[in-house]
Amino acid sequence: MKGYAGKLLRVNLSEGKISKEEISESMKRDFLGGRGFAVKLLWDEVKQINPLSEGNKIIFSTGPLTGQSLPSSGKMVIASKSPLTGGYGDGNIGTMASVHLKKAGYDILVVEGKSEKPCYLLIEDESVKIVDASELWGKNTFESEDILEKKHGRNSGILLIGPAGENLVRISTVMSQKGRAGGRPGMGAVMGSKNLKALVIKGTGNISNFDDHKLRELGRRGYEEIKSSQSYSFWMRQGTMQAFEWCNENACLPTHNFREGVFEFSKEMDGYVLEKLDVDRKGCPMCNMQCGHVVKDSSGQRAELDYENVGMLGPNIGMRNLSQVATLNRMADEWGLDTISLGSCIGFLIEASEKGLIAEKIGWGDFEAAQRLTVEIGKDVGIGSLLSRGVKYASERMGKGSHQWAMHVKGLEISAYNCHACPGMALSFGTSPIGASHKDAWIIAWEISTDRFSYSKEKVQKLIELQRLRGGFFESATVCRLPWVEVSFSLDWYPKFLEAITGDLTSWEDIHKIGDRIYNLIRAYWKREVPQFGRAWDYPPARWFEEPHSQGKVEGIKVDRKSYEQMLSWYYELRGWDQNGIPLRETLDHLGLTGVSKEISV
Amino acid sequence: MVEIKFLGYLTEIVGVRRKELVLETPTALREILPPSFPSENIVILIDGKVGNLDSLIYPGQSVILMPVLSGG
Repeated sequence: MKGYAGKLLRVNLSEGKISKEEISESMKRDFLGGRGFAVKLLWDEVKQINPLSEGNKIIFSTGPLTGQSLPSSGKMVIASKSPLTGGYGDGNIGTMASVHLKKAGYDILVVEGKSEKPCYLLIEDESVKIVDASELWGKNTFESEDILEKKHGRNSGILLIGPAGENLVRISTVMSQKGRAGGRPGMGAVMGSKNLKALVIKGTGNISNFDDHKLRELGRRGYEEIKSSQSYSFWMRQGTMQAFEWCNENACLPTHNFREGVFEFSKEMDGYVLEKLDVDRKGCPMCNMQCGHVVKDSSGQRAELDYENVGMLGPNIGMRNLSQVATLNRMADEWGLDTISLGSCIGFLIEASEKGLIAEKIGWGDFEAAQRLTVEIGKDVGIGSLLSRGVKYASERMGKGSHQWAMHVKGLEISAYNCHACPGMALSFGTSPIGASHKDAWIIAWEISTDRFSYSKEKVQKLIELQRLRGGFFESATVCRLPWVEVSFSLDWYPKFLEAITGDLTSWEDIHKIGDRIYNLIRAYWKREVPQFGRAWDYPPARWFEEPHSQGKVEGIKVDRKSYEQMLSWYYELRGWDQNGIPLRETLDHLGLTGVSKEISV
Repeated sequence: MVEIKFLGYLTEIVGVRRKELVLETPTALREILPPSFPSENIVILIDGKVGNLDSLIYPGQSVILMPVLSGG
């Protein structure tokens, strides 16, 4: 099949061995790329191991659309068995490394084993070297990237970890381009456990597509359509930060550790305030609707903001000053910490302090304490060592009912949408295959525009439709999902892109079947790796069921547990899973996942 | 008096974030919006309840118009 580089690059750090493998046609046809490739490789190769041991592997994976001349294609997926959740973990990242990896001749990079000493990989087309990284170890991501860029030139793609990843902090991510982050479920710690500080990738080749002329023409028209969208200029003004006002208006802004959905100081830090502070814009390669807004933080340094990090490091911890939020965000990026999980961890600790469960007194909006906690979490010292494994672990250590307001699902912290009054989104977080991520199905807008408070089967069907598109197609294609809704870029474009690239006529029905295959294999992976895994893993925390909002337009509202149970049961039924959430044998067989049922005993 | 709030790019279409109107009779929402106002991919809440462009707006009501987003 055209449109792929065609090779998997495998680096074993224990043995210093480098090998290249052909990617089979069936792999491309059945799993498409990105997340699909990642889960297939993890299923086949990473079984019953400690995620921070030599036995784990980290996968950097692209898809047929990655790096092509079409809108927002500069993405890749980073996946591994998660040290934060114990199950399947991944995240996408916009980075020049995605483009360079394909140009160097590889769709997938698999790193396995463990280097004796800190190292980085230098991939220059055919040449692959394991290079000593002693001088980089301990340095933050910004400094390290500067050093690597100076050494290897700006025309390279760099992925790297900060000290948090080195210190095996479970909420650490992989960073790129001083502000891009990916791999929320501890992908930074997996790199750290392998003594792998960075990847530097320089590719000079070209991908052989089925019809380059057609693709160029489609891409050109696609970029034009995006720029002509009615919403384009506002998107360029505020990007994802327009969601701040939107969420506050709809009472789903995470406030004070997800207690409330509105923040009284929201007007002091929304997208309009961002516009006043904006000094630059940053984006991923191949994108003409850059979403990263660079501001000067409270210490005068550049920091890249978007909605998730402002939501979680702002109202969720009671911060009301956007420049100070930017400082926390920049620190998280330097340390290589996930901003969503960091905001949740700090919010959790502030609430614990408020309830008298810890000796330390930390109040909402305490900027000094938040900075100190960021450093302590990054170093895994002091009270930071309680939080560095995420809020699930922290609540298990703390006890005293704190699990009720430890805001996570499957061990991954909930991203910046409070769902007391959004039952469909609560189910989306509950059933997201990596834990509480918003990327798989952001159903809030649909549910608010239809029947917000209902617990209908139609809502569950819509959720699955969104998961197929977002978590299935976009994550495996692998391209950014934002053009689709934010600037109304029609989904009709994507089968056309696929056809010009691969030469295959691909229907949405075919694409959705790939998505279903991916979701089922991820589910089976959880079951195999976490034997007690089942229905109990698919619930949001008790706070959403038991503590209604006390203010705002949805005052008194909470998720009804019985109705959530019903939606979850419908979800399983529609997915072809049993009522414990485990795929049925016939479902797996229908998707061609032969042999999977045997391994999970169904 | 009717209060209408606009979010996101809809503010650029109407030129304001908030508008107050005096309506003497119930009027269809589309009649008080400019012709270029989008008819798809928007959320319409009238006194907190889902409406549409043909919904009649009564004096005293509060309307919020916002784009459909897809999250951060």
